Amino acid sequence: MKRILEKYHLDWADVLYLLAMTVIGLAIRGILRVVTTVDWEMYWDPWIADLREMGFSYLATDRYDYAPSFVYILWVISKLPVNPMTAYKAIHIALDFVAAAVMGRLVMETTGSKTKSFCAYGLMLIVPTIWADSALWAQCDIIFMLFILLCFYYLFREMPSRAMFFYGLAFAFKLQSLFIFPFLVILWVNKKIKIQHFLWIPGLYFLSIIPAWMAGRPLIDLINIYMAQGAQDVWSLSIKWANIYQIIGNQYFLLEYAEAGTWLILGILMCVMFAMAQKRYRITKEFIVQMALFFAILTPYFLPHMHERYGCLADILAILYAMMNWRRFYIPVVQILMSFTCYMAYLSHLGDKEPTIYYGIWALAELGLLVIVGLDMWRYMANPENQIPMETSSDIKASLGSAMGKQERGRQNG
Amino acid sequence: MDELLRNLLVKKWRLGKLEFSFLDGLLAVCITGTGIMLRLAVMDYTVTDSRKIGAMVIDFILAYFCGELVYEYTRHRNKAFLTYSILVIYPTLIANSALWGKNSVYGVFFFFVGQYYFVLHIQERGKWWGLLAIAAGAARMAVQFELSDKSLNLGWSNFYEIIGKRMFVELFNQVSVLCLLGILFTMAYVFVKQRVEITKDLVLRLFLFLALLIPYLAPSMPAWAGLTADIAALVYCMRWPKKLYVPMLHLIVSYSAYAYAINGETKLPMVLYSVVLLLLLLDTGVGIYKEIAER
Repeated sequence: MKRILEKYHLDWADVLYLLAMTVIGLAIRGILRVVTTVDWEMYWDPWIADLREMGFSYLATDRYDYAPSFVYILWVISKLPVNPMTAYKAIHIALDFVAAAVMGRLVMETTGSKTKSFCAYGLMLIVPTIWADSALWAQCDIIFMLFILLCFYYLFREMPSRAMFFYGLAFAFKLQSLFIFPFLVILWVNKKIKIQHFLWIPGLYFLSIIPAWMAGRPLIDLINIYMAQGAQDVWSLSIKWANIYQIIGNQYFLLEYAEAGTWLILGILMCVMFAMAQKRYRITKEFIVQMALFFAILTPYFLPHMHERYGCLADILAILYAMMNWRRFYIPVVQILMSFTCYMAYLSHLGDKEPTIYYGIWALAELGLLVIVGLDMWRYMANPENQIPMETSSDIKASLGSAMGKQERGRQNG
Repeated sequence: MDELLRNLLVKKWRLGKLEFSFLDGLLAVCITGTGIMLRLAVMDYTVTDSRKIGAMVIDFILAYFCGELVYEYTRHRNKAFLTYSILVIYPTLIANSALWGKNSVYGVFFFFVGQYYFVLHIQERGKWWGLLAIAAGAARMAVQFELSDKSLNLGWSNFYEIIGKRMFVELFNQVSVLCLLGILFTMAYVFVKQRVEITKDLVLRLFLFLALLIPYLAPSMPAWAGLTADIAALVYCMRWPKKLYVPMLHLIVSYSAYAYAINGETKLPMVLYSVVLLLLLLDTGVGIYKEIAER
């Protein structure tokens, strides 16, 4: 044992802590695994029952509106000789632990501190929105969040192709991965990603729909599956997510604001990206997380029809951000508290009723977080030390011209 | 005659090692008397039995120990006197024993005596007796504790006031304890890894932090769950006077929780107090972080 500890540079405190947090994480999920939610009863359970009955040919039908990649997991579950809910939750619980381990690695990469890295692993396992999503609610957000974390891991290691591969996988499972897409564009502008790496996104999505296509579902249906999904829950501009519509009113101008809100966020993102693409910046790990967190808060803040769980990506990025920058410790506290309140509003069947702290107040708090992270980003970009002189084509021509001129003069003098 | 009386006010007397002025004595007698009268005024609200009378007596002993504790921290006689005086007339302490007969002071008393001995013998082995006393207080509280299967809190405005307290009660009763354990393990791990030296000041900060944190996340917390933090916040403020807002806000939250439990209503929504407690918790946490970082 001593040799193993020495090999991995661990001591007893590390081992005991990791063990204790793993046991606590497992115990929490073990307690919650028995809960059956409406989502399970209305969607996953009947889908799995159909898959059991129809086999793979179920994928030819239009009874599911989730990405086919997720339905393949349900198909596997339907083949297992165990209770489907237990199998489903076990898979997602296992992914919770993998995500916590990746978070630990990410913190190690960014801070170089083993203590912080182990704490990140431990805290990730007791974050309410993580255990509630998989073990209690039987949701599947941990899949795409894990791939997003892996995307960050490879970005930090300067392996952009692998990073984009995992981002592509995240997209193949959940549309919400697009919330942070603009930060990848900024990385591309700053030469951290090549244009061809973006091909992983449509490529992997296309690969993921091929089995369903072969099963018989029309290709156009499969390509448009996210569009169809987005067109479903349109009965409120905000479905229990604390965003701008909880301030201005989420039950009026349902059709008009739904379209206008989409255009509005596109406009806002364009303005932000325009401003960020004006100069080249030193891309640090902290800046990468800062940008991603900013977009993870900004996009669902203005997009209409956002669900309770759509802050989960911001939740984990906020943890990462706080681990890198202790002065911002309150960002994950507020973000996760708000996110969990929205979860509980759904899980407690509040319906149209407001939680004890009104959504509108939470929306103002979220706006505050957005401003704080935005200002952090702006300060970083405004600092001349973080700016890199940009070479435009005219600059290149000019520098080439002056170099040639020097050579010419050299020859004449010589 | 006037001059004689004026001089009498500040004249120092010695009683063994203790040196005190007439004014000190006058305050001690008068404030103790006031404390007794305050208790007598409200004690008919519930049945008075030997336990309640015992609790009221312990209120005074606790106030004395806290005065000693403050003296140990500040070496300031007036602050120690002031602590005793404030605690003797502290609204939540009086309401808990004399008015409501909840007698929580039995457990709380052990916490502060434990802290006092720990601080007094911080460099010696004797400090472990302090920890033992704190453990005794915790055991006393655990015996009194009743787990509810109807609501996640029983009057204390904590985390569950924000997220909703009537759903998944039996499950969250267990999960919340596990989460709390996780946070405590993480704190202990960081302290061990950073080899943080436990100083007197850090003990006080940690004591208050835990007194705020545990009732904030633990399930089935009754309205009087903040009593330990009420008193700890006063000692904290005596040590760092700029933190005056901590006992002020905590006392308001705590007394409002009493009012809500006894009267069934408060003038401000309970969830507001949950937010205030969260802010106090974060503020105290930042204090711990800064104290460690400054070394």
